[in-house]
Amino acid sequence: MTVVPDINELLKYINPRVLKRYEKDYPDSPLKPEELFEELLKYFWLSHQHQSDKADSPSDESLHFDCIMHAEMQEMDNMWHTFILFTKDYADFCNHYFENFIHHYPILDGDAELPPEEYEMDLYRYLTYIHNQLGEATLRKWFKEDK
Amino acid sequence: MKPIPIVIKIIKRKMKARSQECCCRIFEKNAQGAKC
Repeated sequence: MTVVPDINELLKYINPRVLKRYEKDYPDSPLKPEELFEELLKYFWLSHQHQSDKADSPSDESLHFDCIMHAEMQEMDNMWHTFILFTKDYADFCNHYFENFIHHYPILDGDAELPPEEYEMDLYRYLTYIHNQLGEATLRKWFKEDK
Repeated sequence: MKPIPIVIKIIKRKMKARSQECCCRIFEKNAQGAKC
């Protein structure tokens, strides 16, 4: 069972220790820790919403994609790493909001590679889903399309 | 459904770069959502 919390409730979660540690480890990060942490929470929410939607509509081809963190989302991934350092806080957070531990699977060179046509379709579905669920501003932020 | 301009723009940029570089995934590849 995929638990999807209310996004507004989820976004109320803050953890000053994680933010402080991120600031120490990544002093040159272009985005503020508070902003990045919120984007990470949105990514958790989106991924679980996607899992739930797939379970409800397994034949819906528009849901046939993976919620991968792309290279542009590196800072969000770094924030995730920082959060994971605080093992108890992280586990408590996962259990409280998602009733499950949220794992992190690093992608090694090439192990997520797809044929170009398949990659393009996967990307189209993923980007459209982000846009429809979280809006254009989020999509621009995640994929660094500021202009 | 009408294509969303920002989606098309990002796809064009990424396809032109010919790089599928990624950091991580939250669920194992091809993980199926469990029905509630």
